[in-house]
Amino acid sequence: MSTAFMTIVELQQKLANRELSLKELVTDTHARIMRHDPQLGALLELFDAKSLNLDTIKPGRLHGIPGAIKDNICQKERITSCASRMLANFVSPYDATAIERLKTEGAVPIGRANLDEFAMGSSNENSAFKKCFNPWDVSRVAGGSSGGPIAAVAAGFVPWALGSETGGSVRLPAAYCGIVGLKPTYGRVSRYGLVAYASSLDQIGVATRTVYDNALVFSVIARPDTRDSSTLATPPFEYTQDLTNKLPAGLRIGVVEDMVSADGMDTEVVNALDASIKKLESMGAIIKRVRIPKLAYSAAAYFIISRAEAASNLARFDGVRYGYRAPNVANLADMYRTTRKEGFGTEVKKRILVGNYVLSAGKSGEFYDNAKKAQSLIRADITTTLQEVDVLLMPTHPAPAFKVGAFAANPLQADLLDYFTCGVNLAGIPALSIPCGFTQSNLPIGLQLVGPHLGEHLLFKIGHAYQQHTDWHLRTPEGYR
Amino acid sequence: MTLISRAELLALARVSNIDLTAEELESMPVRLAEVLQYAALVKELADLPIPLDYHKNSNVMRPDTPIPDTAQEILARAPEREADYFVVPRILEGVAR
Repeated sequence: MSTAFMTIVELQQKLANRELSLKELVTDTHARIMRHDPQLGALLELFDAKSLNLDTIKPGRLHGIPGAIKDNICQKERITSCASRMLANFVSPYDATAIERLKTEGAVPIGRANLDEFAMGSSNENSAFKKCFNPWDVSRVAGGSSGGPIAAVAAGFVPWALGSETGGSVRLPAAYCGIVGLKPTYGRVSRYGLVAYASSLDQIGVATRTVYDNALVFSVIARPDTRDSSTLATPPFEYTQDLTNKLPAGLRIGVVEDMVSADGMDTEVVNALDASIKKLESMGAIIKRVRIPKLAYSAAAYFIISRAEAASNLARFDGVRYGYRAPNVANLADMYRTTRKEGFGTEVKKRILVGNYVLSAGKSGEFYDNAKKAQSLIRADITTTLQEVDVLLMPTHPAPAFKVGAFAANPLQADLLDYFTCGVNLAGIPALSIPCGFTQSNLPIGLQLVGPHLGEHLLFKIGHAYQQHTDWHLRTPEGYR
Repeated sequence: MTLISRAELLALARVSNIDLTAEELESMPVRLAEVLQYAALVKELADLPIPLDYHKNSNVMRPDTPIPDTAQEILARAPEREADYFVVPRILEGVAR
């Protein structure tokens, strides 16, 4: 039996009915990945079946369900490379809290998924090891930085994956690859064991093909953790409850005009958004047009805050305690500088340099302080708007997945792909990207629903109802069965 | 355009503890300048009297519960160690190893 593209719910039914055994599921998953991943580049490592210890897997809500883990989330006794030469051989001594939670519920992480080095990028072209391509068209990017986990789900290898978000790194590739991507409220999911990029923005996110599956995985990982003091003291919740084919009564959706009519929006993306808005209206939603002008500062503020925190966080990679150390150095200072020269790729170095520039004496006032002001304004603007409407609707991306190398000569344009997503990270609120159409050349299009602080359940209710009335999420790319 | 001189770039690289490749020394001034020029958009907000969020941070405490000693596991990952110490190259510049 081919288990390609099966959802968590479908696999659970087959396992429960004994139509499928755990061993068969893992064997089939391995066979498909070995057949198709050499062309796709979604995984940096596929764990061999023996090391999965199938006999010891715990009973639980995700019993036996395989998934892929972005390789910046620590898995005990596995390499955690961050797709960087710096950590190419680093074996994690512990599980991230999210991984621990998933294993407690019987989930089976089957590999380490590709990413832009240290989660810095929007295309997964910045991996030190290999690029990850888009399952719908391998001449195009999967998006990033969580390209690997998203492509693994979109190609039907596994039904769920964990990625991480700092400025849109789950939602953007999810939209490019036609699947569902969640960026939770800041503090909902423990960051313990997630390698830090920009700690005030970083959050582990969930990728799946259906909203229901997404809610299921999120229910397992969302809870407070004493090992991450930024987690919120909100109790665990069953997010799959009350997901029906109906929208909440009287739901008000605010379509963010500034974003829908932003420069550079592709006509096919705009048309898909319009059709989705009409669909939601036909399902009973009240559509309002809103403006959030301060979002225009998001990318600029995000560039400054994320790079500043990255410069600080990545200072720890110095060749002393773990990771790469350059050989043949003259002294300690030379060891630091040469280790970081050889261990980091150019994009990572660029972000560290930008971060130290905006924090430097004489510059931090004009850059960093004003970026924090922009963040306050964006938060306030969104909060005010979310008093008039229940959720916001915006594009996840301006245009479909681009050709590999298209931005090689213009990296600033690549950085600006976060324009539509990073405002949500600055505001610390949740957002869900869902498939909402295809271009004529069969490339996926996504939209994002943005909710109030801790509003994940509302996003799941809307997204699930939308998926009961549309079939975008049921389409699959050719050639991965 | 915010220009980055060669001297500024080298100073930044020094405080970042990063040596750059020859290719990066050529390309980086332009790459940094274009990002900084875009980021300078936030300077429009300079005159607005907005309180900064980072003053709201508060501390979070938890019970000080001992966890199993992982020192040996951590030391096992060191590029170079001697007994329970990390070994690094000589600290003083100009002194032969």
